[in-house]
Amino acid sequence: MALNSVVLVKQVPDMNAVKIDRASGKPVMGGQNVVSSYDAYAIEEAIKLKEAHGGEVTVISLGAPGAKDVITRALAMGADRGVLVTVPDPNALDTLAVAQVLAKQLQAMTFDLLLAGQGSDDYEDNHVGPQVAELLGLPLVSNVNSVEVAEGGHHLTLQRDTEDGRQILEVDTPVLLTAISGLNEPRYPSLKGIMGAKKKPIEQVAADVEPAADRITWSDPVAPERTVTGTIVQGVPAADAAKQLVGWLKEQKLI
Amino acid sequence: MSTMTSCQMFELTDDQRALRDTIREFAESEIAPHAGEWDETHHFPADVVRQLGELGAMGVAFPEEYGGLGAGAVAMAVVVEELARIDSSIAVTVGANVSIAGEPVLLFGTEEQKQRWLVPLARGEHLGAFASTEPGGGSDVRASTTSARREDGCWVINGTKAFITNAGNELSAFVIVTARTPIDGGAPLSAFIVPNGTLGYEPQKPYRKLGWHASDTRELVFNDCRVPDEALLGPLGKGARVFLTPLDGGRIGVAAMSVGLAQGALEQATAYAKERTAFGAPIARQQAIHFKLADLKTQIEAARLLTYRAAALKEAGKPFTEEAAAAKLFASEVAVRAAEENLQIHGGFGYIEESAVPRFYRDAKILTIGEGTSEILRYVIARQMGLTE
Ligand SMILES: Cc1cc2nc3c(=O)[nH]c(=O)nc-3n(C[C@H](O)[C@H](O)[C@H](O)COP(=O)(O)OP(=O)(O)OC[C@H]3O[C@@H](n4cnc5c(N)ncnc54)[C@H](O)[C@@H]3O)c2cc1C
Repeated sequence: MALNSVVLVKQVPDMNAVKIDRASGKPVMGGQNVVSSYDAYAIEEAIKLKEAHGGEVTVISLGAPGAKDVITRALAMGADRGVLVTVPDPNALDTLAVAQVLAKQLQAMTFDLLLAGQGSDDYEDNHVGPQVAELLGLPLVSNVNSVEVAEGGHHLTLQRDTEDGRQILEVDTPVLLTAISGLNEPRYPSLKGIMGAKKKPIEQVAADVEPAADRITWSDPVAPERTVTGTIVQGVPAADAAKQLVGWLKEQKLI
Repeated sequence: MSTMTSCQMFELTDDQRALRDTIREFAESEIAPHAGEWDETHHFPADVVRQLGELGAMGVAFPEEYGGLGAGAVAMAVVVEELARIDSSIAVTVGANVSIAGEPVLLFGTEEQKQRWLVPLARGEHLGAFASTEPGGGSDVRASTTSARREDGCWVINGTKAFITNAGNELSAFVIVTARTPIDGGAPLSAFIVPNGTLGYEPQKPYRKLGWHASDTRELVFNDCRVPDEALLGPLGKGARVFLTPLDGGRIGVAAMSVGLAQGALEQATAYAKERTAFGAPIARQQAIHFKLADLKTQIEAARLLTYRAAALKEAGKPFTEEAAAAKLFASEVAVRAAEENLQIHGGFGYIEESAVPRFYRDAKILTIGEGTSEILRYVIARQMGLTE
């Protein structure tokens, strides 16, 4: 019984490298493009399932032409092939448009399991996975933190944490599930995997749906001003400092 | 194996860059958070070394048929450099394992020796060591007194080796030891592979060192240690060659460690100089500070190019003895300077064991000593220049 998976992956700026420009309050992207962190759990899970049950792992990413870094990373980790669906400016699309483009592409593909991250590191809308499921008419299980495959069948036992407990669901494939942290520990690509990745196929196709005009408008993000307030008692003996502090706390009606 | 055109020698290939990025990511997330603690507690992090082995770091330059990646000497140098940018102890553990233990087996081993010792080494399943230095002398390789005598069809080794890397931790599997062998009235050196656990082979307690606290360095005692004929590595009486030939490659490794340490020190110093204010401005604005940083940047880049060039020559199968010696000589001295300037720029904070700054300072000094002191390297270069015997 082989389990073929397709994983939706997004290339995002490395959020750890984002700096805020002090003068304008605007974020300055730095560093490299990386796999959005929830997507890494989805990739890892697909590879683990392949290792345990056989099958193929395909990763699909919507991005600007040439934006293959995260696909290459997934191939280095152990995925078998990649598809890059290109649009001239991915940031111009809202989440529904992204889901429509991806769903269109996925309709032509066969798979048992579709995996996505719960959300992306940059926008954190958490929309694309559920929207793709809806557009393809697939059952959706979100925020999955454990996957078990029943013996000999395309039947999965999934676990998800809810606010007040844990849900255990049984589903038949095909299904779309979104991954959260705790699902697994994504591996580093081995050096051998990295060197082998470039021999694996990456298909680049232009998106064949006309993205809808803006349904959402963005204002430029600006970091909130940091106002630092505080009182520091300095340069007096400890006993006097304590008195001053107690006086101040009383004044503020805090004690 | 990647071939290098004269132009590419100044830029890494896509593969080399991808390997570098992976090791950098690993070092930053799996090593950096713990390096200070390992340093403080003199802890050899066997788990992380094993993980690096699983990634394939030990096999980068070894041929695929012996469990390696066949990615070449430049890629190997880049891997060691990236590790040293974060933690020199890990870098030397990898560098010594690969170049002074793995390489002699590759160059001089029989097929059986390669299968038994090199393949698991390249796959990261075990570590090897090379023991040449003795309490009585290191630079003068031929002065060693450890002996191996013939008895009942075996070799019986007696003697003491000093300052040996990777010989006594839980991953250590074998040591290559040089010993005097009586033949034809003389007593030339021969090299033997001694498995850990052999009766009479006794690795001692780890030294307390100035730096490289998280690396494994010990004295080794050989006390009537018996090994069979198959233990001989390379021809009988050619032990000096078995040690000295791989040492050229080892020097590329130490040069790469030096470049990495210097780069790490420069990054620490640059970040601090931008952040620390004195007299109303970041200290980086002071010419006295930013000239130091500009000089270091230039020297590190020069050291890196010497190192990659030596590695590229090795990879292309060309002679590289002089280039490796020059790279190691220059890079190690740049590393010591970078570590010192980093501490100076950090002022009093640099003297406190709460950041990586003092660790880098302590780790740097060995680079001008191990695998050929700066003095010996100048001698090697002068000899290549035909100035001396
Ligand atoms: C942490 C650590 C790890 C090590 N790992 C290993 C290992 O794995 N395997 C191994 O075999 N060794 C290892 N060594 C040993 C190292 O390679 C030697 O310390 C080094 O080669 C120098 O030898 P020595 O200490 O005996 O110094 P000496 O040879 O006694 O030198 C003392 C001083 O005299 C100078 N000098 C010597 N001869 C000359 C000359 N002809 N002209 C000018 N100056 C000269 C030297 O440059 C040096 O300044 C390690 C050492 C350390 C500290």
